Amino acid sequence: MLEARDLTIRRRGRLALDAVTLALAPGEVLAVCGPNGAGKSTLWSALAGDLAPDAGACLIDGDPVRALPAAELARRRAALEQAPSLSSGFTARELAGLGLISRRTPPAEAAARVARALAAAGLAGMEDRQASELSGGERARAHFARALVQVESGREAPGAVPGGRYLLLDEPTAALDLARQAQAMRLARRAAAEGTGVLAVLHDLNLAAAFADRIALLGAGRLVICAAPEAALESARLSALYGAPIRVERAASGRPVVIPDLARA
Amino acid sequence: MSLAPAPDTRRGSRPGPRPDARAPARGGRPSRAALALPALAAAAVGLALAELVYGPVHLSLARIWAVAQGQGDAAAEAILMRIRLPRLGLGIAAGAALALSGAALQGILRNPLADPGLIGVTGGAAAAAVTMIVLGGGVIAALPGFLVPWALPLAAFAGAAAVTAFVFAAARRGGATSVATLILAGVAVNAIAFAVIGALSFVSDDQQLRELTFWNLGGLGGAAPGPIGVAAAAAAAAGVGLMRLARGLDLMQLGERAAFHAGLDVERAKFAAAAWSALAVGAVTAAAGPIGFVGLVGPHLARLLVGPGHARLLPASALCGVALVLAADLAVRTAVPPAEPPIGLATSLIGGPFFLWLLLRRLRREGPDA
Repeated sequence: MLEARDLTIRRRGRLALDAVTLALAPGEVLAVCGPNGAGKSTLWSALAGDLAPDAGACLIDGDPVRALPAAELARRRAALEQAPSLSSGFTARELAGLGLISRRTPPAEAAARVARALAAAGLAGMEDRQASELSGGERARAHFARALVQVESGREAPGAVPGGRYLLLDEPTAALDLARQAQAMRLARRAAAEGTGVLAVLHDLNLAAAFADRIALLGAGRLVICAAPEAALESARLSALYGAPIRVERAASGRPVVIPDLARA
Repeated sequence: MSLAPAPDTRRGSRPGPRPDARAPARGGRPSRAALALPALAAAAVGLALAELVYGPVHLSLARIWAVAQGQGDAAAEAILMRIRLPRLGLGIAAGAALALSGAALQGILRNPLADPGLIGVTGGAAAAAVTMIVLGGGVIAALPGFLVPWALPLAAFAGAAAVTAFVFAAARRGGATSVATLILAGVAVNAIAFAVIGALSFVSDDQQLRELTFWNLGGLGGAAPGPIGVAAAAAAAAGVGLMRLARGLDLMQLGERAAFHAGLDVERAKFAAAAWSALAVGAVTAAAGPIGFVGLVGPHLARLLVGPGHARLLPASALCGVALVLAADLAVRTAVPPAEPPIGLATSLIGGPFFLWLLLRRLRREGPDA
């Protein structure tokens, strides 16, 4: 499990997270949603190991996240930052290859893994393009491929705790068009089907409703609810949380569909 | 000044449009890079031989070979063993050390303009070495005999390390450095180093002044075997240490946070890169004096040839640096024989305009805040 236990974090004198407790299990997709400033990215950063808790704890398979060496942590979880950057002339292939964290991977397997991840991200045929020459969306997907390579490389890591168990995504769909957003989330679902726990910070509640097993709603640093989409996404709760009228309907699949009532807002 | 990390690769070290980068899967970088390293090595070996052959006395390859066999004539042996081989050894050490530390600093600072000379590391080493020459007489006299050859390298290393620490602290914000901050920090440090060296030459006695001036011009010819050995050892150690850091330097191109997410101990990598750079630059500067721009030009040429991956970039940079220094040394030795202008003159003549071109190109592309 990747857990936050009574996680409390202060940033710039403000309580960014206030005693948040939630757990991500291997094999599930958990979406973290909420209005701007609710603490989504702070939660993501704390679980990724960037931020030390002021109170409470972040545990990965029972170990405090900040107590593990960076290399060991990288075997257990991959993280894809919001707006990832690259300041060198790497090709898409070289960029995705930065996710190869195990030195034991044979070169042929490493190359095949990178090629698979790039193909899964829809970049087949663009492997040797320089990342800076790709469009914003293509570049975002190349970084996504890097995270997928890291997850797969972590899985083969030796040791008592099987690695590659968690994938943390901070607004992975921000630079993507509608179809690519769904594609990215399908990749996250596929990783989950292979046993990886995926935590995705998402702005789009409909994307969360369509692809997440559970949705954690944050408001002003507190956990409002963490439940299946049908239970979490309620009209009254969302309207109060976002401070705007929001309707919730059902799609044919039974999944909730969130519709902001813009005219009344 | 821009404080945010680089938004995308445009800020990076792309040397220019690379036609092969658009080529489909096969061809392109791998094969070209595979050829580039042996080609660079061959160029370096050729220049090294030329360094042994040419000079006030021309030595044919046959005579050099005879000396290597132990059957050479006395004159050729004396010239080779006392003059040209030490000179060649120092040239190789200086070229490799300066280019390696340039490549490492550029990688860790995510900034292709980080040259140990430009950002003041060489200046710090020089100021500290001059301080040792002029004021360190008492210190050197008190040292046990075996430590005496180390006094100058140690002082230069201390100066280089102090400036490296300062530049890292001053120029880094949020995982990247702005070009402007880096260069302004270098301007400031170099001005201070210049003032220190000037003041010390003012108070030095005749003997010290001669030693200081000779050394401060920079050159491969004047060093004693002790400092040359130290420089060679430091360059080799830095080469090994930095090669072990190659993957870490690749990951740093993602920014500090993402590098950490991908398993890099960022603080340790930064410290290692800075320490190896300071060690190499310090030891080489102590032996050869300040030699500018090799750390800027070498890695840039290497990047054009083998691409940005540090596993190839570091050895290619070292070879480019060696070739540059040896070519510059040959140029100054054969330009107006038997006079020998300082080697720094030649590297600055090439490096200065090159730097200006790089800077103007970046500023035009990205604006003054880049």
